[in-house]
Amino acid sequence: MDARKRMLIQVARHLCYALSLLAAYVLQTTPGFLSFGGIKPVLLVPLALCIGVFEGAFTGALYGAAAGLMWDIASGRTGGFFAIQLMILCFVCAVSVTLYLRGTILNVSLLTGGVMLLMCSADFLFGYLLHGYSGLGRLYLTRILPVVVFSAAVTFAPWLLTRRIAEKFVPGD
Amino acid sequence: MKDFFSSLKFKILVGVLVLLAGVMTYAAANGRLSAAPQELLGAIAVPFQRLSSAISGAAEGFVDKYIRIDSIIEENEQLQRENAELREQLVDYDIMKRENEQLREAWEMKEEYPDRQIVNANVIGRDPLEKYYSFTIDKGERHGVKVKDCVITAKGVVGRVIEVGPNYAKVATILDPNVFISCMTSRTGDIGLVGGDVTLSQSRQCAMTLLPRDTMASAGDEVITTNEGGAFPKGLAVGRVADVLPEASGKSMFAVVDPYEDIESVKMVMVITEFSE
Repeated sequence: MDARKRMLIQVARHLCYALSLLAAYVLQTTPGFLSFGGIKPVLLVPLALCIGVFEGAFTGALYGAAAGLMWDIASGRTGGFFAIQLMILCFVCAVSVTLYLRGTILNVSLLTGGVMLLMCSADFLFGYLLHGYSGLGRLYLTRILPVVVFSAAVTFAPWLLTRRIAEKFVPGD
Repeated sequence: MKDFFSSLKFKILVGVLVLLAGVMTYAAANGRLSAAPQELLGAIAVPFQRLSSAISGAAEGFVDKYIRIDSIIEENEQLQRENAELREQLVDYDIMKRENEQLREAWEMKEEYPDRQIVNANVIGRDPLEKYYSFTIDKGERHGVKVKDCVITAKGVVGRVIEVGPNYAKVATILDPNVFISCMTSRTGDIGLVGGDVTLSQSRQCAMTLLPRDTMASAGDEVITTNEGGAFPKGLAVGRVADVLPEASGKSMFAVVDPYEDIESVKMVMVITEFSE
């Protein structure tokens, strides 16, 4: 396989990942999509983590930054708030899978749950807790934790998609 | 792993991290992210969001009927048969009916208040982490929408525009603690500020604060906008008082308000871009 063909395959693979991110952004913000009792999953986080698991720490961190920035825009948070967190967490998760864990659906789902818990708790801390609002315990239990669990539960879909893309576009030797 | 930390890739990641920290500092200092990435993403994503929103709306109606089919069977077998026959037609019919009602109400409002410039918009985005049901609409600067424009439906006030792109706008609802609208109770004329409250927002209610201690307002009173501050036209319906309670400070009272509009599931809204009151 010549260098040009290998490069084209790489470009196609990353184009697919970029389109997946766009699709996740659109679906995540679509009113009513996968909404149960007003709870919707965050799709950008599991997708970025799956890309990190299949592509390694460097690429994962870059896609984590991009996905985090998209989530910042979607949720109206201060630009970079989720991007920085997700970039670091994608890097850490990808390294964990490289060194210690197997990249199975179950492991990636658990990692998604952990990452979502950290990010949502940070958002809760800076967005609500520090403002001194009342009745926050109930809000955390009824709105935030269900989003964390739901996002971890749907990780299988981004995992299957990412694996398909990673296996389809192999540069070869 | 040690090699990685001394490699070019690691330096690139650190560079990106520093860049993001700079972006965050800029956004925190200026109140929002630079317009470029938001508008770029908006330009790319809004057409897809419109499409997925339309599909989701149709599917939601379809799936909802299936979820409730058991109780329908128990209640009445005849109704079940009728439902099955009409189900396919209803999906399209519901959407068209809703749009038609919204447009008719907008037209009636235009006739009643010719000075008001109204832009009809569809809700195309809601984030999973949004606790106060803020949303994105498919109309923006190109359609005359501006920051602070008021967003309503035929039933009542929904919120105000907080951010505008060329073809989209973000709306903070009256359940958001950062939104304050000058309002009055129509029966007693007591003036207060209607806005969100973290606790009340969980039951889709908002608060009317700064009511005088001797207020005569009571449950059932209608809450309407005043034109104080000039942000909202006078006389728009907001909701109905559910309860009147003393504030924690004891210096004033506040009312718990049930908004007329179901803010969690509203799909079409109107933006008042100009008015002369």
